[in-house]
Amino acid sequence: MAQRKKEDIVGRKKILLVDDAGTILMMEKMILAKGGYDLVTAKDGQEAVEKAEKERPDLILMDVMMPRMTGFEACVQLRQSETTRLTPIILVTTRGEEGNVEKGYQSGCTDYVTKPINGVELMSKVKTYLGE
Amino acid sequence: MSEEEKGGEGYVWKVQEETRRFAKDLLSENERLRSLVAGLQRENRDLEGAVSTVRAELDRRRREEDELKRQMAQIREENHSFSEKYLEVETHNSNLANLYVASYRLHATLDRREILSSIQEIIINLIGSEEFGIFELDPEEATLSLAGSMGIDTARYGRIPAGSGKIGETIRRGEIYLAEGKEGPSSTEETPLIACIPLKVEGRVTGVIAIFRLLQHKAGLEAVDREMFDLLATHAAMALYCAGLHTRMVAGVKGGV
Amino acid sequence: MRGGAGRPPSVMDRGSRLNVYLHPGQCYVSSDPAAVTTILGSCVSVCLWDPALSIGGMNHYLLPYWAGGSSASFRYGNVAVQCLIENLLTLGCAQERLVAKLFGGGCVIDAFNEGENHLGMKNVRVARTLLGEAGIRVAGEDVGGRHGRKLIFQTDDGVAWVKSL
Repeated sequence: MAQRKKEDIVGRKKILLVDDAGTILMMEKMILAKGGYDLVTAKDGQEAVEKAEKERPDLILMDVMMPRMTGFEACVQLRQSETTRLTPIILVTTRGEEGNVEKGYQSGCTDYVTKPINGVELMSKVKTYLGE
Repeated sequence: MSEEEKGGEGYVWKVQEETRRFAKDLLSENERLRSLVAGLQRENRDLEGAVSTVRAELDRRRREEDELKRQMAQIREENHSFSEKYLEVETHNSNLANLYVASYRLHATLDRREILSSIQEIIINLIGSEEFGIFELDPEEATLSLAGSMGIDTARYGRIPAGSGKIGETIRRGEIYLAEGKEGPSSTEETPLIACIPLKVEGRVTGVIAIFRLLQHKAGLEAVDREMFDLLATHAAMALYCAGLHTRMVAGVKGGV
Repeated sequence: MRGGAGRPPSVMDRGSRLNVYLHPGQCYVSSDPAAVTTILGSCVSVCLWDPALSIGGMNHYLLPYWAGGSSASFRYGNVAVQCLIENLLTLGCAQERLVAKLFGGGCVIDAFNEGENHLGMKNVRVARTLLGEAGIRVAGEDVGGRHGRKLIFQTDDGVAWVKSL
């Protein structure tokens, strides 16, 4: 909460985008750039956990299937850290099946979106979880 | 005049006297009532005046309220059409972003492997399919060889004759094929083909992208997907072509030295 | 609303219902008994049921309003609710008999955001408005809050099971 307030004073919220596909990162950046956010990226779950600790983002948008560490595993780790315990995590999933989505929630995600990403929907969810 | 008569006269006089008094009383009572009525009438007029003032005020307020309601409805309507416009613009922007990202990724490198991986990322993430093949055409042999794929039997599709089926038709016609009437994964065919996109360089078909199935949660192809197919048809082909030229050029330069 | 959190749906199913999983942006209506499952964050599902015919259906939408344009889809509340009603009427259901249940619209992050204006509540509001206009009674709802939900709706008896995620 203290960190959130600090971000408010600076006036820009920070979002961590995590995906091994450059195409998706670029697409997400293009959509979210309009919101005036600080955008940082990571290429896999492991890097996401490290970056989240260092960058203290206000929201994390993360792919599920990634090398080194999946989005599920990263979610679990992020929830164990005091820094990111309460940070909203939106999972981006190619497989929207029941088991997959439920596993996301069990790992600690806040919400999910399915690929292909719809820009309007993504922006609405992001704004909601940033309290805008 | 007898006593009796006297008595009788006295009585008549008395009655007359009483009648006169009575009449007088009546008159004065009448006068009092008239003035009372006049008073009431005045009061009534005043009240009516007051009522009509109140009524006028009420009418005015009602009109004001109607006007406010109308303004509110108008604002709501404007709001509605504003959010309608906003959604339309945002959807359009999002679609443009997709196309921009795709074209940028295709032309960001001359490395054939990276281009193929970009095409795959575009099909998976921007179109929404995990069952597809990218084929290159060998015009002399009339065969298609698989350059990249996901979720399909590579042994079956590794090298196939170019002339048969919907894929062959796409090559001959040089036009994008879209499955009719079944815009989704509901087909019962053995290998349902959702779309087949010819890769074209200057009008010449150099290969095809065959999309066999969309992601389970994707209901069907949308307008933006068709635009993406158009983009892939020319830009993916051109990117692969340029990468080929580049490789040959580099090899040529090396060979020359 | 009958049923609460936790009980496994397979117990009730007894194999007589078709199991259907509903993805965001989809709508399911059938005259055959089905147990329709979906998972909701800020999204909302409307379950509709005609007790006389034992027919029901469910949608799952992501955004409240699609106000026009070509790509109207079940991803938008106004389209999804309207279509759900119409599809049930096509199957012979009577509008005045329809009973609704609302779920989802959750995942509020903190107290600052608990007002009526976050996406989840906007999604809920559009359903309430449209059902109200159609004269359809809302028999139960489990909306808002800070958690996701797994929802199973039985189209034949109108029973809904919700598990907090």
